[in-house]
Amino acid sequence: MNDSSTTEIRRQGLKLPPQSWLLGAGFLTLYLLLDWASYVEPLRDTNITPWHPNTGLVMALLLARGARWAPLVAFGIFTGELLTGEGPSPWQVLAPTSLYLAAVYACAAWALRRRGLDRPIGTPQGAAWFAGVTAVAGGFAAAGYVAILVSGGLLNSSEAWSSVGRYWIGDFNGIIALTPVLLLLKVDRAPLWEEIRRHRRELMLQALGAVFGVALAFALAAARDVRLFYPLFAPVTWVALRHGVPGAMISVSLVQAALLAALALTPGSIPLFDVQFPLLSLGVTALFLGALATQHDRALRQMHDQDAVLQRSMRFAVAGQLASALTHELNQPMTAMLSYVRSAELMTEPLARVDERLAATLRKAGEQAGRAAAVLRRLREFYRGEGARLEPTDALSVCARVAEALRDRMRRSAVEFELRNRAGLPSVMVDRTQLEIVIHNLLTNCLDAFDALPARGSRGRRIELAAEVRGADVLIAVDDSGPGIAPNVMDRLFEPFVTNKMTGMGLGLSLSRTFLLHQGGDLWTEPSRLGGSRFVVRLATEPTPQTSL
Amino acid sequence: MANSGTVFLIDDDVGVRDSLSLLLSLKGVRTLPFVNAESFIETYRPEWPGCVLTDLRMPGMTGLELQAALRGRGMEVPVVMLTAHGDVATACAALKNGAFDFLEKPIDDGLLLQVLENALRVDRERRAATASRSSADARLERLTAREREILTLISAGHPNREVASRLGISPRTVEVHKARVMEKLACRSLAELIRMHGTSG
Repeated sequence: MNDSSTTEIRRQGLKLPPQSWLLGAGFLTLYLLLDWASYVEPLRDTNITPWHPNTGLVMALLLARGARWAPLVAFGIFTGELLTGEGPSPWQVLAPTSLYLAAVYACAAWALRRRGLDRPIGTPQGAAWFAGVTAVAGGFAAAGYVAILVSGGLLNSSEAWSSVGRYWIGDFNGIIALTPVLLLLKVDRAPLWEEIRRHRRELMLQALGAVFGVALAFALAAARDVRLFYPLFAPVTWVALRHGVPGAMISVSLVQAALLAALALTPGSIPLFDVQFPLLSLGVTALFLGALATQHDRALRQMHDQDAVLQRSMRFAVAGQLASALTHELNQPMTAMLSYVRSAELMTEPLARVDERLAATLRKAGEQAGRAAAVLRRLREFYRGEGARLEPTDALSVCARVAEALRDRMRRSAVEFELRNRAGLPSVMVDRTQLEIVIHNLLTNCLDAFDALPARGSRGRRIELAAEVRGADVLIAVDDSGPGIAPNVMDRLFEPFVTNKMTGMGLGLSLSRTFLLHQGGDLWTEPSRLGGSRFVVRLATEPTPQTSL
Repeated sequence: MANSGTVFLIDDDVGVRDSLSLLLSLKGVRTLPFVNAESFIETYRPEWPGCVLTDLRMPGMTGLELQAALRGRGMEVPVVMLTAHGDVATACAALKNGAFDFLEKPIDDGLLLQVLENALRVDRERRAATASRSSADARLERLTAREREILTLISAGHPNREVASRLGISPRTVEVHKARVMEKLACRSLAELIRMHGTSG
């Protein structure tokens, strides 16, 4: 750690900003409120209750803000014990327990923060670390707390083990149910509200399911002394899979609250301790399922984002190629026109005396043609952009990434794709984005060709991508079992505006070839052993001077 | 500049070919149009004075390939490239390979004429230099071994007496040889003699 950050911390420690005072006061108020609300079914003569949502709050604060807040936590625990219960324990017991518990939670929070878990949980690994560290910390907290009580003579040693269990499950449950939800407050909450708004009807159904589950559990318990909590798993699993960690953990805390409310309304129907185990497994299950769903969602979104970026740069490149091709095509007639006009000017020189407007008119015609040419040139220069940025690139990983982004489309088109991987390819010198565009183009060409086929024939739809080393080059070949290239476009395949697609512009292959030629590579076609077309991309492994057409 | 050479105009686009040859002929430049580089290479003879004005991008042989093919055959006709695709990298490649100039379509006719006149002048000068060198070479061929020896020594700046003592002959004989060399090479002065000996190396 360098000096400036040390002084930064020291300064913050000495002089707290007003938000910190507000946060501290809010924490204390909420802590005492939760402590009071959860003071149910204490163990005889002690404050050991089987449910500690206040510990969840403590963990959330320490995770989000760091161990600097441990003294406030200790103070909170001390005050809480003092105010609640059937009479405070002597301060010789209160002081060490408060300090000890604050220290244990601070250590747990420190361990989790090192893993980057001061933010909402987003992966199953994160969930595993969170659950594991919390369970261990709960164990230490319970054992230490009970040990202090026993040594202070407040607890009979014969009751020690059951007290430890009771305390542990209360802590663990409180943290699992409340901390992940509170951590959600740390990040941007707008997407969460947006999601709630969007899925309002579904959320209503899910809530209804949960209420029904809780009601069923209590009705059965009251009527036939059966403790059935399984119905609660269905709605919570549903929420977790649909909405990830936020949905899962919010629903777990709501179910907990509903259960406790039901317990409070029907005293004695079920002992809280019995509810705790199903609740704990519900919480852990929801946490893991939610983390899995969140991770999956994120991966999907990243894939789509990447695809969108590729599409965007491809559109830009296509526009550039279009501008370039247009300039070329229009510059030829423009040159002819200008030369004819100049010739006409020369030829009409003797007639200038007859009508002086003739020369002026021809001059203006020439100027207008020149103006049109200048517009074309500007257009092309705008789209030319920067030149290719050549860098050492693993060509196969680029291919794999592009193929991955197209996997949905391949599935829809019932195409079997194989990346025939040759290990030990040297890295190539290419512009990564341009190579992505080239591979994307070749693969979508194959897919378009398959999609244009009338019905799904018996012939297997297959695309193969293989890479090999040849001399100082890497060759990447894309084979397909499609209809192949129509003979009428074969000769002019790489020219702009040549296509046999219904909706194509005929720029993809011409663009791809231009890219590769500029990077010292090439693109050509060969007959494929799969029966369709085969395109071969040649990439240089060493930087070559950029050559041109 | 009517008799100073022909512009060999190569472009696949009929409009460009027709309009440019019309314009150039109006400006008094003789033009010979070709549809593609291949037909030009087939037709062209190195003894024809002139310069090449070719499009860069054509189906078949491109302008750059034509340039390389001409160099490969030892034809030193100046090549002016025309492109509808102003592209710095291509222009650099063309100029590095010895293109005379590189112009972007559509071209200003004044600039085109200036470039072509320069190219034709370079071609003319090159031909003249080759011609005078070959006539000098032919004249030097007619000298005898002894006469050539004396020419070399005189060109190196030695006086007659020293040449005579080196070769072991009398200064009078050196005078006679020198007079015959001057006559054979059609030189009127010693300075002219030395210059001619220098150019034909």
